[in-house]
Amino acid sequence: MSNNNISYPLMNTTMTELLYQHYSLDSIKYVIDMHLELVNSLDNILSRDDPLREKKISIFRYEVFARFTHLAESLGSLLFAFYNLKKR
Amino acid sequence: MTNDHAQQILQSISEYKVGAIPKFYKNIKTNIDVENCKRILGYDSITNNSYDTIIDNSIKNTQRILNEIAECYLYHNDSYNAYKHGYRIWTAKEYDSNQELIIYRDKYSPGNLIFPDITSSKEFKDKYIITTDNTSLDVIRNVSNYCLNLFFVIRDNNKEIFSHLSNANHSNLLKLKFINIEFAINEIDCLI
Repeated sequence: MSNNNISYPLMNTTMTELLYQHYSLDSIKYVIDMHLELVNSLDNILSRDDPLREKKISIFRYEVFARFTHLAESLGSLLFAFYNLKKR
Repeated sequence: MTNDHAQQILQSISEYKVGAIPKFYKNIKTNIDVENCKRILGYDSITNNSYDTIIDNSIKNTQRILNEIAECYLYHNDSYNAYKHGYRIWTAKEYDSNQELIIYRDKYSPGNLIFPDITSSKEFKDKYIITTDNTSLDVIRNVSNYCLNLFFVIRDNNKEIFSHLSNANHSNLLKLKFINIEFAINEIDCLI
């Protein structure tokens, strides 16, 4: 299948614009904040009769740590890239 | 910062090898020394000495933030890999305190031991048991805020410098961001 007819909003964007205007590392932080809110609400959302209730709460709690590691890794890759600029 | 620099950075974040970022964070103190930190945050564009103190403070605060991010990242990275690859994690609770935990396995886990138990060494438990209680969540909340602030400072300062160098900005002022002692962002018009 050809992709020739696809248009997308960043089609005529420069590399600089892509990096400084559209690179949305901050989006991962929104996900962390949403998970933190959910962790507080899960106790009310999940039925007390649900046999998987404890496991669901635990895995949602862990998701916060997983998304943080994702965020820190992505920030690290950006720092790593800036760090390597001097060597090029 | 030029379009070519931006291309190099985007290329680097597309090409880095597995293990490069943990290694980078392990050596964060030497990798992000004062000179590198100054350059990455764009402060090397300021030649006016009257900003020396605020630059020095921002660099120190950035290095403190980075040490905390690195420590937290390196602590959670192995369990994150276990979660991501093969879903080698199990939920649990501490027997006495009912504290929420995650236990994971990796290639170094002893083959004959299913989980750490009361006879396991402290090192073993510290490595394979991750506490996910509210205190740990609060730590993550703070450190992820530091990550976001640092990202904004790097992105916005380099964007401002690019805009200045490409003559879109004819002013002799650069609006730069600094990390203050509370690890929040201050924005200051700097005369260059």
